[in-house]
Amino acid sequence: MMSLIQQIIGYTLTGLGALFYFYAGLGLLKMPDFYTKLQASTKATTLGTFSMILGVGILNPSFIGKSLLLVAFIALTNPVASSLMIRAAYKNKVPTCGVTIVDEIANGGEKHD
Amino acid sequence: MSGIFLVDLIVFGLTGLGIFFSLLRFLMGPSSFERLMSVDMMNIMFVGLISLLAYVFKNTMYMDIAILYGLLAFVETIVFARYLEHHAEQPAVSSESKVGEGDVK
Repeated sequence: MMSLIQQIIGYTLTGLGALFYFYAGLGLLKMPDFYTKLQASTKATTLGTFSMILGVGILNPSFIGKSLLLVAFIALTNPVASSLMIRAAYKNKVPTCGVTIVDEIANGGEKHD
Repeated sequence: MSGIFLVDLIVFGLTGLGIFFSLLRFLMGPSSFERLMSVDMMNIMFVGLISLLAYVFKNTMYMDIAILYGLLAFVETIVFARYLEHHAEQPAVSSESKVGEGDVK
């Protein structure tokens, strides 16, 4: 009985992660702009990785230590990598799509060395 | 048991569709920044996929492979982003605006 509940929770989490991966790919393909593409794909992929790896750790409890380590690692590195990419793109003046009207970095919102 | 196999098949299919869309964006991305972004997303999807292989094959070694792959993917993204920040060839304004017109206006 315990194994059935464990399998239901694990497969639900894993399927949710796969669904978020699919949405991340869809957003990466269909968004009009570099910045919107990066926002959609980064957020969806981070949440999908959390869900999928925790689902694997619940399905087979001997993996739970390494899966928690992997979740912590992804949570530390993925926002840093996306922040560096968006900073490189902003410094090289990658244009936004036509409907963007607010640019807070150009108005002194954040200082770049 | 065949129902559980079907769930595995659905999960692998959805993840494969995500990786395929990301590969498509890599092939037709207008600027090199979008190619870098799609490679980063593909690497993180591969981390999830490898950890799912650890469950399917019941082998702990795949979790170590996933951790190491994630580390190498992070280093790769950092290096390419720092390189493109200072050494980008051209901002590619003309081709970018030409591509973006069809979606928005």
